[in-house]
Amino acid sequence: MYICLMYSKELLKGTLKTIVLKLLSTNGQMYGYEITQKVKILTNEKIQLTEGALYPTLHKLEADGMVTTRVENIGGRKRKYYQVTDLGSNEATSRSNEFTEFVQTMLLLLNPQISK
Amino acid sequence: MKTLTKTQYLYITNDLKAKGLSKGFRTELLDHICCMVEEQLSENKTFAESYSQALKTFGDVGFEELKQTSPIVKKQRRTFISQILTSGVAASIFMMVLGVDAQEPPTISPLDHYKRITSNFGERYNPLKKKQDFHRGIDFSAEVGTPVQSTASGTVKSTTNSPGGYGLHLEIQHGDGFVTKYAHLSEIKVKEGEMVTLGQVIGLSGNTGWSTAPHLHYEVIKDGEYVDPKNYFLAQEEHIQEKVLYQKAN
Repeated sequence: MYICLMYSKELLKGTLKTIVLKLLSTNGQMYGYEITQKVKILTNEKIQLTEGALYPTLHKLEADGMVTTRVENIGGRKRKYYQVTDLGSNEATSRSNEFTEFVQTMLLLLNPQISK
Repeated sequence: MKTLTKTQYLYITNDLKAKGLSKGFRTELLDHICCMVEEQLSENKTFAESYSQALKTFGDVGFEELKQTSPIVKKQRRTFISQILTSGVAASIFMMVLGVDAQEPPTISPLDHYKRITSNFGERYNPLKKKQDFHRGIDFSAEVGTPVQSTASGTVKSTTNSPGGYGLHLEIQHGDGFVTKYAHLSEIKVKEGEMVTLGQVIGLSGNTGWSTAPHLHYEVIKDGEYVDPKNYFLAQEEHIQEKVLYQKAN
């Protein structure tokens, strides 16, 4: 159980924090299930986050001060919402910039014709 | 989107409890699984079908994985253990094993084995000022480079160099209003803000600052007041009756 389908585990490893932080900084507060659904829709089901990967990541981000949480009562059910901090927001930007640059650099190696 | 009835919600709650998920994290997971079930229900499936589908998607592996990897679960497991261990003895053994979370006053000597205490807490003859003064801590005779350990778990409050006084020294903030100070060091091995555990080596003793011979000056401060450090560790038996140097009778 990890982020699966379509792409190999090795490829996606290390991008999970980037995905979560970026989503949270674009969408404001979100809860766990909402994040998994959003990723599913945005990637046309090519990337599906599993709970086993998502929640530990969220908890790690919370411990690192990247996100804060708030519990709301929704129809008698407790729901935990996550929201990025300033620190998390900066991290989201730098991580996604780094990743974009990385992809462009990879293209130089893998597909020299395109970049010429 | 269909929502769960109260009975269905209770059923899931109890079932997850039976699956052994810890309390705090269960709340979050419960909501997640309920959402999954509601999604299935909206596709006109029965509750039983929906719930078993959700669990299947989640998988037993998922539960195991979460139990192992989530830091929150781990933390709660610890809290749970600490609730069981209510007796003082049990709690102190628990703290010795786990260290970091302890909120205990200093309990050990800053030096694993010291040669002798050369100056006690309280009024004493100051060899440098050549007169009586109040000694805020105790001095352990120690060769330069002797490992100095934190006498309780805590956080490093400050690391300072005062050539005209304490020399290279550091302070550790513990629970319950306790601060300990270690002075005249030759080397500091921790940084400000770093968490330290009971018995962790935090530096090496030395002869820096205002000092006549290599020694460790150790202070215990409780709520801002200097207290006798000897009350916070078990003196090595052979030293209890030891004649204290520099301390003039009357």
